[in-house]
Amino acid sequence: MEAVGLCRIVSWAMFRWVMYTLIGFVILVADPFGLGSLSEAGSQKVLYEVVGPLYTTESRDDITIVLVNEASLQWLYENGLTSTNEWPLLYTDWGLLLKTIGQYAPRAIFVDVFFERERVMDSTFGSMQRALEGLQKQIPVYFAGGMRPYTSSFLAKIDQSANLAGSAWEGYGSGVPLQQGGQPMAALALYREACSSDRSPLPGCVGLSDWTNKDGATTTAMSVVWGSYPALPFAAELEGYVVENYCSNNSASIGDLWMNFLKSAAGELWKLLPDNHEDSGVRCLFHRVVDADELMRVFDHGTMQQKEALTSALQDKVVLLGTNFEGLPDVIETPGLGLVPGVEMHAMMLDNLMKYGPDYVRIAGLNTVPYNVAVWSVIVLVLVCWMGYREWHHAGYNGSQSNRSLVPFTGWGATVFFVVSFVLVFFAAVFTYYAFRFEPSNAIGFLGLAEVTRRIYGKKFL
Amino acid sequence: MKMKFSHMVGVSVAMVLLTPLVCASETKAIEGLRFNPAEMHFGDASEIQMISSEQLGEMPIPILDDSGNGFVKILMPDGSEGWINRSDVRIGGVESKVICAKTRAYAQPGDKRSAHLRGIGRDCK
Repeated sequence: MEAVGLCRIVSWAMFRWVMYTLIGFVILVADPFGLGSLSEAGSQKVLYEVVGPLYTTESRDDITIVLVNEASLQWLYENGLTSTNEWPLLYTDWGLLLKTIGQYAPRAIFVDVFFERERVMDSTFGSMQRALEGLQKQIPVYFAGGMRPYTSSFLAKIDQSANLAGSAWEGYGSGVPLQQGGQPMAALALYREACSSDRSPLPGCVGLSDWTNKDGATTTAMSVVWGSYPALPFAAELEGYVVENYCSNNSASIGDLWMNFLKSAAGELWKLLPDNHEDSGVRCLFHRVVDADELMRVFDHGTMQQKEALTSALQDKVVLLGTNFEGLPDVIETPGLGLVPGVEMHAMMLDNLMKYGPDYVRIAGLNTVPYNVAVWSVIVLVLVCWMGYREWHHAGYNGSQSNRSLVPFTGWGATVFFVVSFVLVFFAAVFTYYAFRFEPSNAIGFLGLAEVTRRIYGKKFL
Repeated sequence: MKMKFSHMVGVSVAMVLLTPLVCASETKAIEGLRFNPAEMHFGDASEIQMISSEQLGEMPIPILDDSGNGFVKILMPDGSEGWINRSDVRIGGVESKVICAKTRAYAQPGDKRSAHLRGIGRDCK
């Protein structure tokens, strides 16, 4: 009698498992109101934001961003260094910045500016081209090529004295490809320069980049993991600041990790709390930034100490030259850092490659439904086992009652069910992220699905 | 309100005396080479030559004209005129204040948005 009761409970549990998995499958496929996609993006943002302080900084010292923005360009113009005080810069101005960076012998340079066609109002391209030809002999220089195929005749002209690397993409969801049509994206090209066995790898390379030459090694797009402990910008370093008293968005401890979780959980309510105005202070990037005006000022008139600091920021580093002009659409929303210039995305991808190598975090696939269903089925298996155990317990561990005795989760039971679901979902997301190196699955959506199963179970349908 | 004659004379004399100083501070000159050798062209700009600091002679070299496209005109030691790439030289005469680190911006809050595109203007009439 006892065995029969147990068998019945187990059979029902298996039946529920299949049915709840199917319900999850239908909801994930149907994606009503796009809620699934939204919750998937939200889940990833939350998890990356929470684990941001855990992202270590061993590779970032090899990466430096040189940034041109309104203020720096105005300064350069007022000091006779550029011929324009407004976007876009003249070709000769880019040439000046490139030649100056080149003086510090960086490992490689990437120019994150898309030169689609030669401007008729600017006759100085020859100057930039000669600067590139001078650099070409010693330093690999890459230019943003946009998206394959590179059809622009102007890009072909640049390609004669520099290299082109992919800088735009579409169709990868929340991920970023490492190569398109066999042509490397900027981060991959720079990674090969930084960590190849042909040249001495930079200190931040955890391994060599040779694996990237194997067939299919880089075909799956990357889910970029963002660090949240910022680097002190060069200008602040010269003024004697440290990260803690300069960057408003510094977070690196376990306490910060917990605080990030609370912030994410509280959402907008967090901003209502006193002394939590995140907008005060300077929001820094994860990588060190050298402002273009400081680059030129220190190069021309800096003290010996300042010149040494600049040398240490650029020499044998991968330097990414980018822009940050208000109104230009080249900004990326990140977990933890806010809106950052697009060039930081390439820097972060490079950082991920240097740090993780072939174990970089991959997107779950163009169609994430099967992956999410698999994760959901594991979560729901634990839940139905728990339901079965409660039934068995309720029946006095012998299943002697003739009718099925469902024990709905109500009152405190509902709260406990939510907490257990939350823990399961959290561990599932962390496990897939750390163990399988897949992007975090749709954790928020799974919590919603768990609640749906609780309600169905409560109505004694299943 | 009337100004006294002696004050008017004093102001006029001061202006006459100070004018050369003001003008002198606005004169731009090449103080040295940023990159050696520097790009230079003569005549119609069809040919670029690389000129070393020794060939340019003693600094500072006054700037005679600015082409507006990245070159400035100077007088060579032999009396000829040439155009030198302004990126390759350090030009003195103007220096604005350093930008303070606390006034800089690198990232923005996640909810900041720009509902405009810089420098775009379309006339669709």
